[in-house]
Amino acid sequence: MLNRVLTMELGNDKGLRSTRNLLKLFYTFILPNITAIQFAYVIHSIPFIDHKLMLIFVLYLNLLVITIIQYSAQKKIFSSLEKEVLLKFIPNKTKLFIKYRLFFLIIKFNLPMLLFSSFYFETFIRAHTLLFTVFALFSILVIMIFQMYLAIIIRYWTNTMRAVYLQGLQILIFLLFVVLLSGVSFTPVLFLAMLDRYWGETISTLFYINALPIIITVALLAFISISLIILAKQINMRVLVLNRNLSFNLNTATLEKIQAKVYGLDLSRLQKLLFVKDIKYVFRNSKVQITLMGVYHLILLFSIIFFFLDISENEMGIFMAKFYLALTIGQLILSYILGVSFNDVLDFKNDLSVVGNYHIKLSETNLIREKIKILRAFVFPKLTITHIIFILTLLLLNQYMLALVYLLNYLICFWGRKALELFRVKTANQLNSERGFLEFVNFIIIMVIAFLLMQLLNSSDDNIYFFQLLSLGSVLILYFYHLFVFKKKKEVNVHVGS
Amino acid sequence: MWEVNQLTFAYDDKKTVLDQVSFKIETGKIYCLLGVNGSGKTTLFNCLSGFLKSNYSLDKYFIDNKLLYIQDEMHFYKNLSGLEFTELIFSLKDKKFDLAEFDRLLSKLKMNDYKNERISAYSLGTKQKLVLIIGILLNYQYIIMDEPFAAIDFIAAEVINDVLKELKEQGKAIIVSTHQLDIAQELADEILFLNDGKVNQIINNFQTPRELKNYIRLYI
Repeated sequence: MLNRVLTMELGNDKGLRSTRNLLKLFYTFILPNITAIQFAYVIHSIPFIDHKLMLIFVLYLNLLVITIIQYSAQKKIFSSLEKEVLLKFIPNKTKLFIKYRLFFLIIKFNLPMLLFSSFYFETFIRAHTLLFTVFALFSILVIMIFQMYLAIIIRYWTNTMRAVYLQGLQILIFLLFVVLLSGVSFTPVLFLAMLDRYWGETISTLFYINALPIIITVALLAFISISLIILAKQINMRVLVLNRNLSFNLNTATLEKIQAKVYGLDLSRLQKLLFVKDIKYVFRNSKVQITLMGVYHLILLFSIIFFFLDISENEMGIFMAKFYLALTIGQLILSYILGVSFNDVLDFKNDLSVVGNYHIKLSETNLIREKIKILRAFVFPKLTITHIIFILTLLLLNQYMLALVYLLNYLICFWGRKALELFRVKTANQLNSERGFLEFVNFIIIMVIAFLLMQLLNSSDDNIYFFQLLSLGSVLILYFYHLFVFKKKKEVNVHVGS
Repeated sequence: MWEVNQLTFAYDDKKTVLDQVSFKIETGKIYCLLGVNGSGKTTLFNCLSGFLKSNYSLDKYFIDNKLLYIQDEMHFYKNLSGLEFTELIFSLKDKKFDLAEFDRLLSKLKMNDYKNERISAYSLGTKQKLVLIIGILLNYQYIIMDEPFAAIDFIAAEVINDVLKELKEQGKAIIVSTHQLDIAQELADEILFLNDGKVNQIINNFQTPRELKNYIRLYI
């Protein structure tokens, strides 16, 4: 059973004897946790961070991560149970299988956040003793158990609840998601506060927080977890396997048409047909996902533009250009991660099968381009519109050299976005090369880009253009490397006819 | 007429599944392909439709425009409705879609309620019917169907039988693989019996399914 789950996590059945798999486990399950602990201490040591605001933000992030994990558990893990062959032959292992799958999901995505939060909070506890460290680790365990059993109970409810109550529950969860995601707008507030303190050279003063509310919250969670465990013991796990149709049939035709028109402009006839089909899929597949992405983009777009137009002319220097570059790169990386949730629409195996059924010719290149457009329409940030506003504003203020800095930043981000989109689509279709040397070269290019971007962010006003051009060149190299070199060679499967 | 001559196929050079298979398909006739499990019926269909590479090759125009192969497991875009899916296939093939004819066929196959329903809500039999409708609308000359009656009830089977007979009247050739001897005996003009990698083509003069069964027993 554990072997099967490991195979699913690692993407192959070579198990722990393969060095590649051991590395994958290290990168996925160990490195993020070590980084999270380090990051907690780094954040604590930055003098101009408003830690009171940061503590609230960390709490909010935890809520967001918990919600996203619950959503992923329902959408990815439980919905795939029906197709799991193993469970058809040994149905009595359903409970164990579900628990393993949830365990890996939580360890992968929740543990780093929990470790970061615990170690960050710990630095603000007066009684900073071994006792609190033990308590923090206990809290992490409680939250993980809570997550696991909450996911099981939610699945049970959604599969057994009467349709009317279920729709009510869905609306409630949907609203919760929207409220939580609106908290993303908190991020620019945090950055603004940081900038204010940086400009004003305000240093954080040492303060402590009361541990009692944390202890009460964890105790409450522990109590709820025990209740959920008792509840889960009484349910028939087989009920969790079947997929119930939970989608609302809302009319999204107008939105589908607008999206298809805006983003499908430069696609060929065939690509456009598939693009429209995929747009329909995304809108119909999950209303929650699509609304969240919409809210996320609106908040980011408006907060960034509003913030830019709000700052005075004196502050609009090179520093702000670098600040926006860092912010955009952060968004791009976040979008790349969020792109995972679109893997089902990015995977074109079914497209090839459908068109193959009717002998319709369609090349992989056509499909890759079409899927990239899907990512751009729903996931990646709207770079062009924000940068047009930036550059036009600067041109109106006669700040031509600064406008050039923003233009070069835009080009870096534009090609970076293209490279990330291509990488995401290729990853979803297992089209990246598995040759060790090519993977190593890919890693080196990414490291060089990271190094050059760091140099760019630390550059003086005189040599900024030099580092901008170098960064742009390296990003272009990454894109073309992915386009022409870092790809899997096609396996030709020819049967023998004598 | 479509003539298949000495088609041979083997998986991985080990066992020859199809050994110099030859038969003739005439338009305006229904053929039933019979054979025990593992005899190579699906392999034969895959070779005929170009999904498997064998020594027998058809010209591309024939495969793309004259031949429809309805596999036992067809692929769909399940979040589209039957109408949307059909329209998409027509657009991808760059052919004109006849909505009135589509409606007529839906009605004939008792699928009116499914026109705007998403395919994810369709049963296996309903999906088979949808593919058949697409095949009829695309006006293929030769239609190959792998086990079309395996997942459908006897009423739906009767409706499909009627549609196939109508297609035959229109001058199309239909090859159907099935294990249901009663359907084969009733529907087929000729029987293609696949055994030991060879096809025996016989006129369907059997009066009852039992006669057909006895013939097959003798052969095996």
